[in-house]
Amino acid sequence: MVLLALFTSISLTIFMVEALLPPPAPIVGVKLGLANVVTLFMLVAGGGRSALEVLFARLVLAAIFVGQVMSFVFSLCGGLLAFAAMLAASRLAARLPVWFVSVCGGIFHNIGQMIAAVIFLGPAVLAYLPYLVIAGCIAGAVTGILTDMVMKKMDQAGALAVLRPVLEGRP
Amino acid sequence: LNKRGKNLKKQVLCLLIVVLVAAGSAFAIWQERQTAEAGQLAYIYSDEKLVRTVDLSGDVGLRLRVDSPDGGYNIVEVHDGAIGVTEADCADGVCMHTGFIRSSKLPVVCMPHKLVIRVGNPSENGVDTVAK
Repeated sequence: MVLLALFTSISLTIFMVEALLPPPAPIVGVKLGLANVVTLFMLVAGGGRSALEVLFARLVLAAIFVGQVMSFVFSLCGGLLAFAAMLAASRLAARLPVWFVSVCGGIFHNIGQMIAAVIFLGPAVLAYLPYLVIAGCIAGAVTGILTDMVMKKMDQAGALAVLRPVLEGRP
Repeated sequence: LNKRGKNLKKQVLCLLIVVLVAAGSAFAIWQERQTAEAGQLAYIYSDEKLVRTVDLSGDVGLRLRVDSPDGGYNIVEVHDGAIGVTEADCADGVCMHTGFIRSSKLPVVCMPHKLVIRVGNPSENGVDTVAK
């Protein structure tokens, strides 16, 4: 539990700091999604259930801090669909590279947001879909490469060997 | 060495898939830009309801305020056959960054305020023109 709280606070901090920065492109829904580094790290390190719990806790806490109902619905749709895509991609028999798992997450995050947008804003927003798919590829690649770097550093420090059994202990 | 070669193959294959998906999206954007043409009317939706239809050639210099269900607002202006948001109290300001639109290509969207502005022509669909 302490570990999960720690991961939640790390990802919430990243999420809140990123929300303070100006959007990387003047297109609705485009962002880097750096907090995904935490979700992806936990997922690859073996804790599928822990990763989902931390993701959900982060989304709810972020909604309380930001206080916007609409952005909560959007990030919930995007976050859960991205998680499902990353879980599927990371659990395939052939071990796919972490950056690719992240790109899948990025694309499906934006598809999830698009579904929410069509429901709450109307079908006119569908024109943004190709822009969001490309943005998802780029953002996913960036966070994926960052996650890979974090994993290598943690592995070198010996932290991964300590964390992995704890995370895997909760299937 | 064999394992390394296999890993490289996987990396290249993954890269290929991502490039294909991105290229497909880029093609969709390109095609949409080719077919987009300037529209006569702008439809302003708030919370999925059409609140106003604006004649882009007639309503020159129009400035109106659209109140959103969450208590916020967007100031919409019409200039030279184009429409855009010039002022808003939303968190991200993406609606203002989108600038002015004159074609059906991309709508102006303010996600926090559930505002959508799209441009079209009277002939394209009967339902919206009746609502004027």
